[in-house]
Amino acid sequence: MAWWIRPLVRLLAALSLPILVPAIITLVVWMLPGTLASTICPPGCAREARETTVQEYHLQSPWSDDIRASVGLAPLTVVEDNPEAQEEGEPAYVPEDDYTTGQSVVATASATLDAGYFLVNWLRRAVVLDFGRGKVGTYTAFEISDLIWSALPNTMLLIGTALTLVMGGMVLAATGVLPKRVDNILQGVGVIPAVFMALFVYAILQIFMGGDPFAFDVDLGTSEPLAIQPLAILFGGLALGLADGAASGAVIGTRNLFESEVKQRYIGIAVLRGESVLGNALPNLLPALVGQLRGRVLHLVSGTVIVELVLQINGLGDLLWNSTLDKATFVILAAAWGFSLISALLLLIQALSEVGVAILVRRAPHVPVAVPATAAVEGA
Amino acid sequence: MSVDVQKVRRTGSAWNTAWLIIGLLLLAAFVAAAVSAPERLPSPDMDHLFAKPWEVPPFGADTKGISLVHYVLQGAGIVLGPSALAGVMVMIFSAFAGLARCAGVTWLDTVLQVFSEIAGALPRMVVVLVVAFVVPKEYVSLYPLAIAWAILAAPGAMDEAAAAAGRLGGARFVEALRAHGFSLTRIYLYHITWLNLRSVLVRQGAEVLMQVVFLEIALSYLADFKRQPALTRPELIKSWASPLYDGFQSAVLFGETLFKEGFGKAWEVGVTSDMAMLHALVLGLVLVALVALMAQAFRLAARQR
Repeated sequence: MAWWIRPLVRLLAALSLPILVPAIITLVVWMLPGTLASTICPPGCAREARETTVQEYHLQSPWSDDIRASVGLAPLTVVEDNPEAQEEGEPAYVPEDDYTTGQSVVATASATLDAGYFLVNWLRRAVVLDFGRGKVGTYTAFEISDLIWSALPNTMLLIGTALTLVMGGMVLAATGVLPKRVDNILQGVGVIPAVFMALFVYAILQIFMGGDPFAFDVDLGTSEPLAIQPLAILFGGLALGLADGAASGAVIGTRNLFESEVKQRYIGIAVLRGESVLGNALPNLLPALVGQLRGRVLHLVSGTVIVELVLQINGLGDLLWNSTLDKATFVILAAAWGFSLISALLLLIQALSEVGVAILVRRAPHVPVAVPATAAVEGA
Repeated sequence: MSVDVQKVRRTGSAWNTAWLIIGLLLLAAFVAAAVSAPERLPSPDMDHLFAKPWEVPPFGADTKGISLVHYVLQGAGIVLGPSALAGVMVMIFSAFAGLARCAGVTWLDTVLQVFSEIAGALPRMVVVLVVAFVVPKEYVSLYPLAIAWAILAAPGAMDEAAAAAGRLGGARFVEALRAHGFSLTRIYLYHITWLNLRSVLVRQGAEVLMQVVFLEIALSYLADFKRQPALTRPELIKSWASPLYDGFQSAVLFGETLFKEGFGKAWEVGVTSDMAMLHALVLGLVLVALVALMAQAFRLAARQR
């Protein structure tokens, strides 16, 4: 496989993820029984309110009612007013006539058009970080961007703390400062899942802070940070870094990479020339290290959800969990899009590092291969 | 110094067999528990609230006097099918990637890489929550989450299987065996999959099985913890997280009393008092450990000499 294929695939994946993730969610939401408008504004609520929501969030394309009318289907607003049709998952309810195959195809096409129309407009607004309001459940009245901005710093601090631990371990392993016997301890701790580690931190905080330090009502997004929150973030980050083999994997992985690389002949020659081992090995190991680090960061992002929930940290994971339970589509879309941006950024960094190293290697002066004397004689 | 190769092989094989027996015994217990899981929990029993294992054998009772055996059985029933499905899915994905590498089809390798990059680029828990969001409340189950988890875990497993197949020599290995007169079916199924990819496939499958069980426990625990509806099961069915949750409260109380009033009082409050539930915590942790042991046993049974 040519060297540029992997970075190119990563680059394409990075570019497609922020579109693919909301597209898949939108598609699935549209495939579910009932319409999004009727979920937000169930049958019985004021039609005016529903129409406002439909317009504000572009839930229906301007052409779909015309297309439906052309085959004798009722407008979507009529469908949304009919709970029975929605329970059956009927995309288009026809009160009088039989539902024909042609009508079914058109109804599906119209729904797909609506989904596409919604997605394009949602992405257009998302680019300028306008996600609208939560509309459903706990987050009904909240601006989603406010919710995200209030949650993001805590999540970043949590990931940052864990990442400091992981990267510190990688650096110490690469430089040989961290002795190999520590690996067993790290591995032993790494067996513990994030949820148990977070519960351990919760118990420690509860025991030493006295009473129930987490017993508070969060005034969503507007509350002052609690006294316990910085401690919860600090210990939560450390727990996140140690749990599920995050730190142990990083340390052992880095150590193994360096150990096998320093056995290469070019390192021996570099040492004889008075050059440093690290300076020579690092450029060759960089793509592998960045790849490993990307995996670790993703792992940490995943674990953040659990740690935030257990330690009641107002972060993106907590937001995602609550909106999942509330079935708050717009909040889910925004949070998932945020996570897809993080993933895309990581992919981009890995692709760029691979390209950078490849360019560096190709710019190195060409060393002519010495022809052995015997081969030269045979050739002659 | 001479090495008795036959002796080494026999010893290795004996260990593999021992681990396989342990793994199969645990799996059999797991399946038996799942199959005999009651549909509903019995009614609360006021006479046995917080009962210890010696009062209501074998595991004691919960805060409502319900025997913890029912929790063990129902919990096994929740996780068995989805975790096994996820494990098998990952094994199939990995085998496919390994065989594709041996078939030497470059475009297929690239397509698999694209899949790996996209599926492997997403944080798993985030995807699991998004999947839980799209599942209607009345159909809540661990199956969709387990399938999503398997798809997200597949890239790593596929990479490893493809690398193992690559080390064999890829397409050249197949060519060499063809030259020996073996059929393609035998080469792909026996020589490559069974003899060379087996350890990778079983290890990855066992790991994902274990991860799905832990995922269920984590999600159910969080739901109990936040007093919210579970994402993995109907409300009437209880998970292994329930005894853990009850036991954790006792453990915290034990720790708090230990810190403030010393060991004697802590032992009294956390362990011997009528409302102590540490036995439930121990039961939950033992269940978690048994699942981990089962996965480890299969991994060790399948390792190659």
